[in-house]
This record gives sequence, structure tokens and C-alpha cells, in this order.
Amino acid sequence: MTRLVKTVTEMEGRFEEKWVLVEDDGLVSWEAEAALRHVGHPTPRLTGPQRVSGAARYTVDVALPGMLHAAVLRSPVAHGRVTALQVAAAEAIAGVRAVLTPASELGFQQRSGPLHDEPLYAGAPLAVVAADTLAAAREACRALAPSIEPLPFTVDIETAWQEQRFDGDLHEEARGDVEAALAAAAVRVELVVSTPGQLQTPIEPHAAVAWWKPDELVCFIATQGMFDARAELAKRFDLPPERVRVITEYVGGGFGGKQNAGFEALIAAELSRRTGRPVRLVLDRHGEQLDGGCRPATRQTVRLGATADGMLTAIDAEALVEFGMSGWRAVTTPALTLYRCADVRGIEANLRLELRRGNAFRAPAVMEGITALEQAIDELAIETGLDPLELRRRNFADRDQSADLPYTSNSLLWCYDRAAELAGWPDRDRWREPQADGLLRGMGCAAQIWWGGGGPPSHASCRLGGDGVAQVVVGVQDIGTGTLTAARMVAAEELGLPLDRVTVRGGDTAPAIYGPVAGGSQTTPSVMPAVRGAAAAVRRKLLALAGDVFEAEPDDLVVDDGRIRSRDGGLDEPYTAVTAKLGQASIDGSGNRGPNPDGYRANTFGCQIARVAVDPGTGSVRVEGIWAAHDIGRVINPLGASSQVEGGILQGMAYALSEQRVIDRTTGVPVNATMDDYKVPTMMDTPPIVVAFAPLPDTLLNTVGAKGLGEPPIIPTAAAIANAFRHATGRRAAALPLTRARVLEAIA
Amino acid sequence: MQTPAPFGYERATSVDGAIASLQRLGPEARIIAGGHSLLPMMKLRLANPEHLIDINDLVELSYIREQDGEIRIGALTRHVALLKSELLARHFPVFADAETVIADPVVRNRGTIGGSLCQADAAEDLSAVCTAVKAKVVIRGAAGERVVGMEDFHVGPYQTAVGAGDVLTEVRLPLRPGSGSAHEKVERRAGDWAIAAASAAVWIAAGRITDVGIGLSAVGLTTIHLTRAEDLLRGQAPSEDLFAEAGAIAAADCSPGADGRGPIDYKRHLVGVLTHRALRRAAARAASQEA
Repeated sequence: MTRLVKTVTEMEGRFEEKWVLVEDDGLVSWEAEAALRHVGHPTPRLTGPQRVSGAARYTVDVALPGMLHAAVLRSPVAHGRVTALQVAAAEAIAGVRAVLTPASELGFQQRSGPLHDEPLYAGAPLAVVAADTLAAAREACRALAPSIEPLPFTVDIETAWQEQRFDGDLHEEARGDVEAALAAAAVRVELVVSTPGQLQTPIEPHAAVAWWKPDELVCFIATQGMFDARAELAKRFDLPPERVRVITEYVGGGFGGKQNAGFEALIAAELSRRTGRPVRLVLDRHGEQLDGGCRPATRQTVRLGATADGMLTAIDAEALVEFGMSGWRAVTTPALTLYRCADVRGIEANLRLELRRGNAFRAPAVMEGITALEQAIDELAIETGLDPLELRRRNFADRDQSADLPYTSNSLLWCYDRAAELAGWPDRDRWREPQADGLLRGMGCAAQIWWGGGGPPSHASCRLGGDGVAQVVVGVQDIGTGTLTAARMVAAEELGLPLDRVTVRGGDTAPAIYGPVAGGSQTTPSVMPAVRGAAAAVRRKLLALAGDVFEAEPDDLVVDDGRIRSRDGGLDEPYTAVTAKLGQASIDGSGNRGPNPDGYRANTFGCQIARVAVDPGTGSVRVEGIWAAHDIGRVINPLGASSQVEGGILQGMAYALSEQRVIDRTTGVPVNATMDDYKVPTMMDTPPIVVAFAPLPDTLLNTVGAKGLGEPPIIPTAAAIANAFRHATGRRAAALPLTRARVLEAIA
Repeated sequence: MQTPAPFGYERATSVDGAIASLQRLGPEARIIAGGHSLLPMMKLRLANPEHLIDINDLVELSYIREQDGEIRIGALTRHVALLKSELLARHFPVFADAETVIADPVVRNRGTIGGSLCQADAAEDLSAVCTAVKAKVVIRGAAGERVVGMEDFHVGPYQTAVGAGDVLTEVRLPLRPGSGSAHEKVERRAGDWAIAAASAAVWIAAGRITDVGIGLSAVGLTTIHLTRAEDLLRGQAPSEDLFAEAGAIAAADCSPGADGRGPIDYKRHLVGVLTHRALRRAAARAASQEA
């Protein structure tokens, strides 16, 4: 039955009640003990060979006949006024087909124009050129030779704070009376921590190829949300959505920074509209590092109060954010939810600076908040003399205190135990004994909370052809996480087919099968139930047809391993014994993600333990191991899931040790907006990583029992490393990353 | 996504042929060997040679052998060969120390010792290594061959004694008894250019340091040859205090600049620590060789 139901959906902690279309698929979530043939078994990714052989076509690889190349002129100053652009000189360059400046009349509407005559950050786009070759487009950008009158700027958080340069209002959330609780606390700790600005640094930069055809706008976009991109293009250009097609076959990393259509697709579409030619706009690396987005830097103060035996009585978290996302406040959210505590307050101020505004970056805000909160909790453990994991166990929150609702599932205590067991946590103090190599060693832990329950709407279709091969279509693109592989496993499971008889297609809005943006760790818990529903619909129809063919009761039949069998074992026929009779026809089914359960919050949890070795002579910090235990409900593909954890940990480790957007205070310009100077760790920097997942599916949440995993693994890594550094050296650095000079200062 | 400016290209079939091409094509021609410094510079348009003369076919320039009391290394010898050479490991383990931390296997499979020395990047490791072990290089030009010691090799940032029409053909390491050597490097991440690196070689006889060489990377406009610390050490009995004192001199005598790799004070501190450690390990290796 098809219904419209009202349900609460969540995206990165933003809750919304909305109507969603639901077709009841009658499925119940697989139980923990369910014997599954594909789901839960390590499976190599569907597109691995294409990716490593270069056959995969990313947006940057798209080349269309007659395609023009666009280049962007960017502001060299943090703040200024463009007083002149030599447009005629640019247009005079051979091969130049279009020049867009802030004065250009654009065919699309945007609240603040995409091109700036008063740039508010270094790297802000001033003008764009489309030309027959990229070289000509770049030459024309140089020829534009902007005259810029410099204007005053602020790029440091301290000045912005003193000048009260707020972006939006102060955000405060509280329960109880935190000041009174702090005053009454037997034990108090206060910690001030600075966290760095971090750049997403996808290997494939932001990119779009747009082709404005007479009847359709086709855009190839490196985006995490192809339907959001379609909606944005349709709205901005005032086109019916069905006349916009977005294709996103492969994405070379997004990490939150590639939302919607973005600057690139809007501009490429506009240039194509003007020139009648396909237009390719790919950010160069410098442009990507200047304007691809960032996780904003913060300065946070955390104050904790507790009883002598470590029961938290007060948590007060304050965060100053260096021009973060507009209207998005979640740095102090973990302080309000991770631990049981009656008197709690979180205050956040977003400061307006002449910097590129922050955007989504894998666990936006929450990772920053955990990085501070979990270091403060570590200090409290030291102050109370408690084992840091024991302190966390004592303060376990079994429900969402902000919403006053229970969780659909919460295996955080399991995660503490499992991480401790894997890391050899009980013996951690032996690492502090004098070491033969003269290094200082230590172990630290940190916990993680994140949403990641997903929700509707999310749709899938499944078509079984005469050859007995099922084709699944989903409304999402695979941003490198293995989403399509997981969809294949779920469909094969439900259809009782071997994996090689299921194909999965995504990355194209043309089939008009909707899927959500790959963000908020929502893809797996949103899309996989829809896939299962679509496959189940096909299975039911197949068995009904099998009943006709074999003169059997469909309810007595099951599918397994590409065969149709009767429960009594009397019948055992291949799929094709039925499907071959279809001729050119097919069995079609559709599925959707059902509503979220009323009266619950769905969250992911986890714990990571890090071991570090610190060289007291050079200040070098090496991570020697990370042990990660996460609760993400059912794991669809353990191979893909462990890769996801490893990737998150690497990015988290980089946040603790090496990655940092460095701004020259005298010019306001980032000085390391290249991959040479912006230090993404290499494989040789990668420590051994041990991954475990809680063995408990979230059967309340959805029909596959899965929660999301995109964000969770990056969240606790930096705090665990900082705490390990504290354990090793007895000191805590006031700021991350732990650069060598900073380390020597901290341990001096 | 950067691409070099257009350039001419030819493959040399002999050293003399390469030299003749250099003479013919003039100062805008460059020798290309592994290309791992030159090509990125060309892509960034920091270098815009009009012609490249590719010497990768000159296999006669790829060797590591012992001859006439020296180890002789052909200029086209790849990093990976230096890393794996048993002959070098026996006499100058400093090479394996350095090669382990130079870039990554892809670079080490292509990059050459001659290219590294001629590039003369102050942050480059092998220039410091060759300075420490008191190497000599053979430079061949139209007028014939000459042998130049490392002390005369670096004439400025990215500038060496190799002239416009010259080819560096060989590196020579004099063999003397009682030697030990080591390389210490700190980089921001695995495979990076050094924040600072120190190479040290010592020659010990009868409990005394008879000779010593120390070279530093990345803390000056060129590779730094630490003569004042060497003078302090020569004739002394090796000791921790002595090496610490040499480290202090190293910290004083280097001239780092502040940049993304670190502030000046930190780099000086680091040079002191690394010089001390390199000397300690070099001396320990000399002692174990004596035994």
C-alpha cells in the first residue's frame, strides 16, 4: 500500500518533520542471527578494476565534442575592491568565447553573485573565461589584469572576537544550571584547545562539464548529491527539473565539500548557455585548496565538574569558530549528548573573517567539538585518578538527553571494551617506561557520537530480465565509499542471486529514481532499505510466476543461490526456468526507505585508542597504532566498512599531526594552498589500524539494520592522539596539529 | 594539471654526444636523467629549458664499483641502486640511511645521484651525504675531464661547478680505514624534503677521530659544510659531550629561514640534535667496524 506519512528526518543533526511517500514493503529487519549469504561478508568493490586501470570516467575525464575549457580568475587579496578588469584584452585573445565578470548579466539567479567585485577572501572568484583551450582561457584570465584597491581585513580569531564580528547570533543550548553545578563540583577541570582549519583536499577537484542543449541541460558534476545538484540548477535557471540531467559516474573524493551543483556547474551551465558549446570547468589544485572549502579553525574552552569518583556534574563548552557554515552550530553538540549530565551548557559564536567560509567536511563541527571535549574528559580522568575508559563508562548516557528520547541502539559500552581489548589498554602504562630507542610512548582514547540514521525519501528500482540477471538502479552516486557494491550485496541477498547476476547503476538522475545527498552518514541506512524493498518486490513477483510455471504455492517457494526451491526440497530449478519465459519482458519492482521509528533518536557511537611515540629531541610524533571500535548497526560490507574507517582515521590523524590551512596574517592569504605544502599523510605515514564493529544490527531503525559510517571514524582520532601524547609526555599542547616546534614547546 | 612549455628533445647515445649537444644548443639546453626535479620545475614553469638531452640510455654511467682505493659511482646510478648496494652499505652506510628517507619508491627507481647533485637543492639529501664522506665528482666538458671536491662543488643556490657545456659523470668516494657514517633527517611527512638533515662521517684510529665530515641539508641557501665543527672534532676521542658540543656549533653555524617547515629557532635546535645523533651513530659504526 502506498501512503504519505509524516516522519522526522535528520541530516547532520538538523531535524525536520516532513511528509514522505511510503510503500509498505512488509519487510522486517534481518535479525542479528540471520544467516545471510552476501550481507556481512567481505566483498571487493564493484568498480575496483575500473578505478585502478583508469577506465573509470570521472567528471574531470569527460570530454565532449566542441567542448570549451573554463578558467577562473581569483582574488589575490583577502579583501579589496576590483576597480577595473581588462575585459577587451581578454576577449581579444584567440580562442576566447566568453568572459564573465561581476558586471555580466547571468542567466541564473543567486542571492550573492558567484563573481565578486568586492572579494571577501583570497581566492574568491572574480571572473571566468571560456575558451577553445585551457591555455587560452588561462591566458585570458591573466590578461584581465584586475586593478584591486585593497581594503582592511581580519583573518585571526582573536581580533574578530575582540571586535565581536559575529556571523549570525550566538548560539546557546543548555539544561540545568551549569554555573551552580560547576561551583559545587568536587573536582573541576578547564581546558582551552585550538583546532586547525582543515581542507578536504579531494584528489579530484571540484569539476563540472555542462552542455546546454535545446531541450535539456546535461551536467556532469563531481558532486555528492546529484539530485540536489539537479534541483539547484533547475531552480537557479528556472527550468523544470526533468529538463535537467545530472551525471555523476565517479567522484574522486568529496568529504563533504562537494554539495549541490556548486559554483562550477552553475558557471559551466551559464557559459554553455551563452556559447552553445559544452563547457568544462575544473578547479586547478591551487583553486581547489583556496576555494574548495574547509573545516574552520576553532578555539574552544571546556569546563567540567565532577564528583570525586568521576561522575560528571557539569559540562560547559564554549566554541569560537573561524567563519563556519552559515546557520550551522554543532561544535558543542557532543558536550550536550555524549555523557550523562544534568547541568550542561554549550555556547558557540561564529566569527566573520575575511577567509573562505567553512563548509561541510566529514563530521562537520562535531569532530571539532569532540577534539576539545574528549581532551577535557582525559584531564578529568587524570584529576580524579580514574582510568579514562572507566571514567567514560561511568558517565555512559543511555538516551539522548537533549531530545529526551531513547536511542534505537547504542553499543558504546561494547566499543569501549572491544577497543581496550584490541589495543592492550590495561597494560598501557608500560608504554611510559623508559624505552630503548629514547622515544616517549603513550596511549590515549576518545569516544565518538554522531547521527547517521538516515531516513526517507530514498528510492530504488529492480528489474529482472529473461536472462535471470537483476538490474538495480539507485538515485545516488558512489563517491568512493562502495555504495553501489553494498547495494549489489543487499539486492543479491534478497533475490537469492549470486553477486555476478546483479548489476547496480547509480550516478545519473535520468531514471528519476531519487536518492539523498551522500552526507551525514545517511547513504547506507537510507538507500539500502530501498534496494532491499525493490528486490523483495521482484522476488515476490518471481515466486508468483514460479507458482504458475511449476504449479506450486508461491508461499512454499524460496530463492537461493540463483535457484527457486520449494521448502520441502521437492523443487529445485534455476531462476531461468521461469525468467526465460519472459521473452523481452521483465519483472519490475520498486522500493523505498520507510519512515524512521517514532520516539527514538538514531545515533552512531564508537571509541578509538591511539598509541604514539614522541621524539623528545626533534618533536616528531609518530602514531604507532589505532584501534577502532564503532557501533554502526549491521555492517553490509566489512571490507568497504574497514576501508571507510581507515580513511577516516587517516584524515583524523592528519588533523592532529600535519594538516592545517596556514594564513599569512600580514596579507590574509593562505600560504600553503598546494598539495606540496598542505600535508596530507601518505601511505608511509599510515600506522597499523585495527577495526572492529559492534555485532548488533539496529533492527528498530530500518529493514537492513544498518546505520551510517561516513563520518564516525574521523571524529575521535585526533582527540585519541592528543590524549596519547598527554600520556606519553605528561603535557598537553594547547593547539593542534602537533607540529614539531609546538611539541618541543609543550614538553620543554 | 600543469604542463611544461614546449621544448626540444633528443636522446644522447654517448657522453661525448651529450656534451656536443650541450655545446651546440647553448645555455638553454639541459641534461635530463631521472627528471624528478627538472620535470616538476618545468611543469610549474620555474624552469623553461628550450631543449632536453636525455641521457637515460647511457647505461655506461650506471655503476657502483671499487677501484683505485675509491668507490666510484656512475652519475646515472639510480637512488634504488644506492639503497641496495652492499658495497656502499659496507663502507658508507650513510647512503642507505639517506636513501631510505628520500622520497618514495617511484622516485627512487628513477632519480639519479648525478641529477641530485647537479640540481643542488639545499634541501636535497645526497649533497649533504657526499659532503660528509668527502666525495669528489668527475666533470667532463669539451676540454676534457676534471675532478672537483665537494668543498668546491656548490657555488650558490642551485648552482654547481658543472658548467653549461659540462656533464657530471662520476662520484668518487675515497676509502680510508676506520670509517663510520650516518644520516639523520626529519621531514614533515614520509618522503618529504627535509626540515633539516645532518650527514656525518668519521674516521677513527687508535681511539681518536682522525678525520670527520659533516654536511647539512635544508638549513641554508646551499648544502652546508660544517668546517668549524669538524675542526673541533678532529684529533679528539669520541664522546657524547664532544658530539653535543659539535651539535651546538652546528646549530650556530647553519642559516635556516623560517617557512612552512618550521621557525628558525626550531630548525637550529633540530640541526643540533640531528648532528649530535649522526655523529653518535657514525662513531658507533666506526667502532664496530674496527672490532
